[in-house]
Amino acid sequence: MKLGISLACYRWVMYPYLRRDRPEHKSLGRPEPYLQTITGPGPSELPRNWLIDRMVDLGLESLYMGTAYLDDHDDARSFRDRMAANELELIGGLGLTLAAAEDEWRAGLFEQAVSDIRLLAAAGATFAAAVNDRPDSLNHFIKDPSIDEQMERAIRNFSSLMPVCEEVGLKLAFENHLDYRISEVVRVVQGVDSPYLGINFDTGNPVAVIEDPLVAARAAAPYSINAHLKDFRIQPATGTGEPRIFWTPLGRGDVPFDEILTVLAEGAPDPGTLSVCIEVAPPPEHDPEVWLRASIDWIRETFPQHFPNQGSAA
Amino acid sequence: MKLGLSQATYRWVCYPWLRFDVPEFRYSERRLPYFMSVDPPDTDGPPVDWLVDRVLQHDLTSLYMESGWLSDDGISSSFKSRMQASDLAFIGSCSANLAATEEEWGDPTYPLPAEARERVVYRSTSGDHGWAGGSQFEVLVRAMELAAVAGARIINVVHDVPARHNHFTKEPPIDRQIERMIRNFRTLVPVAESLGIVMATESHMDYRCADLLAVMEAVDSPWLRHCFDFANPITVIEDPLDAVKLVAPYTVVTHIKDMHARPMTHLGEPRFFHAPIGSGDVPIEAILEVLQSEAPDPDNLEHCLEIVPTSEYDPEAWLDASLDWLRANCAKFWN
Repeated sequence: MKLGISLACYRWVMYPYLRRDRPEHKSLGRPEPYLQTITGPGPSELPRNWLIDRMVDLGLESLYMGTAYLDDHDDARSFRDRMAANELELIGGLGLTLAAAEDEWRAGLFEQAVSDIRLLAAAGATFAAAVNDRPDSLNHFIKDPSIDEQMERAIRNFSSLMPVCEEVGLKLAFENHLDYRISEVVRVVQGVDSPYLGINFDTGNPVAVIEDPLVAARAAAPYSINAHLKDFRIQPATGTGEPRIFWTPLGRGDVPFDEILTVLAEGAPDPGTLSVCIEVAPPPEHDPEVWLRASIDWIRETFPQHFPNQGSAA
Repeated sequence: MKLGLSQATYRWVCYPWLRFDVPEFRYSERRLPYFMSVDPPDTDGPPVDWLVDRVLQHDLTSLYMESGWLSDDGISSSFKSRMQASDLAFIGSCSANLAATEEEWGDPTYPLPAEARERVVYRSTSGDHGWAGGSQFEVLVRAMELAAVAGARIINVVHDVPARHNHFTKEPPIDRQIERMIRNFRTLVPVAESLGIVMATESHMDYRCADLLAVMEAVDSPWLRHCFDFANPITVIEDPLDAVKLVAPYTVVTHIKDMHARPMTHLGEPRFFHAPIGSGDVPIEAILEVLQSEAPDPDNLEHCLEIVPTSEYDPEAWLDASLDWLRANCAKFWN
């Protein structure tokens, strides 16, 4: 397997609409982030280039990044060349209203998705995680439309994208993105039944939809062409009687990584080239660099057998 | 099926160590509840009579309550008389470290010697609560004895150190915890049989129903059955509908509650919130269907409402709304 990161690790220091050094951040009423070891991209620095620098510094092999940081095809080609010069692989990210009704899908969403797929391909991506961009109104728990209807729509919408994926040589990886269960994601992938649609398995996200991560990994493995490594600490009992799920650095939570990585190594279609991207995004007052480095160190020390290229980088 | 009340519905109003009107509450950093439609009990001790009044007020048929609150045999007998006079069933509750080591669990000799029955006491004040003075085994025996005197035919035996041992903790791992629970429950089976009281396991924000099923199957006694909690499986990442299908054949009582799932949040940490029944994401009707068809005695199955809004909300309003929803939408299940 190859080890990478998701840009979401740095969401609070680099997302233009979230970064914690914006004046607007103060109105969230959160503590100040003291004693930080990293700041986000400077005013004249492109976030995508900042990310490449981070990758090189951390000794990683792949980067998960969406289209938001690529303005046009010239940008994409420039980014591709810079990634190639640093021997880095791009895993694209594609936001889709994947359970949109047919009329809405045909009224612009399909065209936007096709455009994004072409842009990612121009940037050098051969895989792209496809995520539901309306998780508040379309997810496992929503009753209207029912989950069955949502899955039928996703099958129809993903199917419509397969020809362009084949044309540009880019595979989509449907991600369980704090919205759907892997059992549902598998249903869609089987329904589409195309070599250009697989799964981006997120190790922590099953918890959010009350699905056991190891059970989910077993179901996802045969279709997994990418993965996100995420850990959560699950605290079932609390003073209020409402359980809490907290971010943790990898290895400090309750996600069974040993078993999951073994399942992926044994069951994924091509485990040797499977990119797994660390996605650890602590709350904004915590230091994302400290969390990320601790997670990378833990992965390298604990699972050298799964990441042969990381031995020399460590 | 019947509808009852769990004491936990009023935890922020009536638990001596949690109630919002004691000074200690101000240290909790919790918001004060405004516009409450129920007054706290006028006792600073266990609110037993107050809870019976709430059951009657809502036209329910049972009360789930900590048996330690009954303190001694005299109070238990008196409580039994009041419950019988009102045709109410009492479902007891007791707790201990179910995954205790053999040493922590203690000598499982039964009956307890007289000095142990004197030594083991339940305390309930604004600053402290719980059993003291005995081993885990002795505590549970005393709690079961009091419940039996008070007329209970079922008592939930729940785990009381969920932060130390639960499905996710590794010292020891869950398989070893299950082995300990099997050993410990086996020592209680003769006690339950002698007292004529059925013990019920409960997924109590600690273990999955699948874990507890393994315990019940291994103990293999009619004196060990299950209390199904409609929402607690969520807290241990177990689907409630899958869970009830596992334990329905063992289910002799339930805690009926709802919870709202918010899988994606601004911080990226999923949240699960209490909700009035019918307003959340627990498939209430589907679970009731499973219990109706697979529970051993569905006609007499007591569903104790355990509506536990956080302290700033009015539990009476939530309970009223939940009862209205259950009576309107699930009427076919109620006797």
